[in-house]
Amino acid sequence: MYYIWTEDRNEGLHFWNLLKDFLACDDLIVESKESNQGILFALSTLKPKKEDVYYIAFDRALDNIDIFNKYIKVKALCDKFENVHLLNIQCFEMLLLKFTKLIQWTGCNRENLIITRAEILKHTKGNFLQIDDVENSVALAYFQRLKYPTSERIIKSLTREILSNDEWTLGYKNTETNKKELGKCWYFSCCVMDEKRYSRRKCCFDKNKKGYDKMKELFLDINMPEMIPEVWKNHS
Amino acid sequence: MILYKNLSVRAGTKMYQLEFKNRITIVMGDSGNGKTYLYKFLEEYRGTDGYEDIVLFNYKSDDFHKRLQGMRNKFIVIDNADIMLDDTDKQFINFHKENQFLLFKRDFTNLFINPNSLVTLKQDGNIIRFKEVL
Repeated sequence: MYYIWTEDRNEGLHFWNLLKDFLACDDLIVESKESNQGILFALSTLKPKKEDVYYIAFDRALDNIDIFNKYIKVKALCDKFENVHLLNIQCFEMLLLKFTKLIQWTGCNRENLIITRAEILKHTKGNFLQIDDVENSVALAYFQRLKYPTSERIIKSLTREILSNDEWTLGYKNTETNKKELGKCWYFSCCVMDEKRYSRRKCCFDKNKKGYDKMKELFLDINMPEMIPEVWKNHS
Repeated sequence: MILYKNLSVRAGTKMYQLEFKNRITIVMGDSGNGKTYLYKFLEEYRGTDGYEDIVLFNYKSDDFHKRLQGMRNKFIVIDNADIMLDDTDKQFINFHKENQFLLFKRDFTNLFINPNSLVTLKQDGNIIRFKEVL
C-alpha cells in the first residue's frame, strides 16, 4: 500500500485526492492528519510494513519557530525508515505557484502579482523560497501589504490572489462534503461555467480541454513523478 | 547586503571564525554555548580597523528601537533578541536590506530567513565556527 499523509484538511487534501483519482490508484490512501501536530503524532507511533510506502506532505515554514521545531522532529522520524519519505515541498500552494502555465491558464492579468510570482520563483531553491534574496520593489511592496509577512503567508496569499479568476480559486466550497476544495477549472473538462460567464472567462482554454489532460499537465510540470516515484511508476 | 562575509574574533585562547552566508544570521542554541561570550568580544572589536560598521545592542542598550530604526549600512549584532525585538523591529530587519544582522535568538518567527540563516556555535579545538542547523 502507498500512503500520502497531509496536514491539510481542505484544498491541500483535495489536491492529493485529485492526484489519487488521476492515477486511478486503489492502493494509494490519502489521509489528512488534520494538523502538523497530527502528522508528528502519527509518525511517532508509526510501525510501517516493509511493503508499504509513506509520503509525508509536511508544510515547512522556516520563519516559524513552532513549525521549524516540529519539522526537525518529523524529519528525524522519517529518517528512521527507508520507506517513509518526507516530501521536499514547502507547502502545496508552492506547487501550484511553481506551475509554469499558472498565469496562462488562470488568465491572471494583475501586473504586481505576475511580477511578485516571477521574483519568488527566481529566488526559490529546490522548493523553498529564499525570501531574503528578493529585492524587487514590486515584490517587496506586496510582502509589506501583509501584516506578518512570512514566506508561507506570502506564498499562500499570492497563490490565492492569482487563482481568483473563473473557477480556479482555492477555497471553493463543496456543498456535499462541506469542505473547501480546488476550483473546478483544475480538474473538470472545460467549460464548467455557464455561457454568460464563459464569454467573460479569463483563462486560455476553449471548451475542448479535458480535465484529465489538465491534471496530467499539472502533475508532470510540478515534477510529481519525482516526488512519488514508486506510486507514479506503478500507476501512470 | 552582506557587509561582512567573514569575521575573525580572538577570544582569549579561542578564535571565532565566522562565515556569513546571509544578510540575517540567527545564532540559536542553549544557554552557555558561547553566544554572549562572542557578543562580549565583538564589543571590544567595535570601531577598530576593519570593524567600523559593527553596532551592538543588548538588553542594557538605551533607546534601542529608535536607534535601530536609524541604522543604515551597518552590521548590527543584537543579543537577547527574543526579548528585544518587537514587530516593528522585525519589519525593519526584513526590509532594510542595507544592513546585515547577527541575532542571538531562539524564536525567528516573522523574520525573513533562508535555510542557512540558522546556525549554532560549534567548537573544534580552539576554533569556534558556525554550524548550520538545517
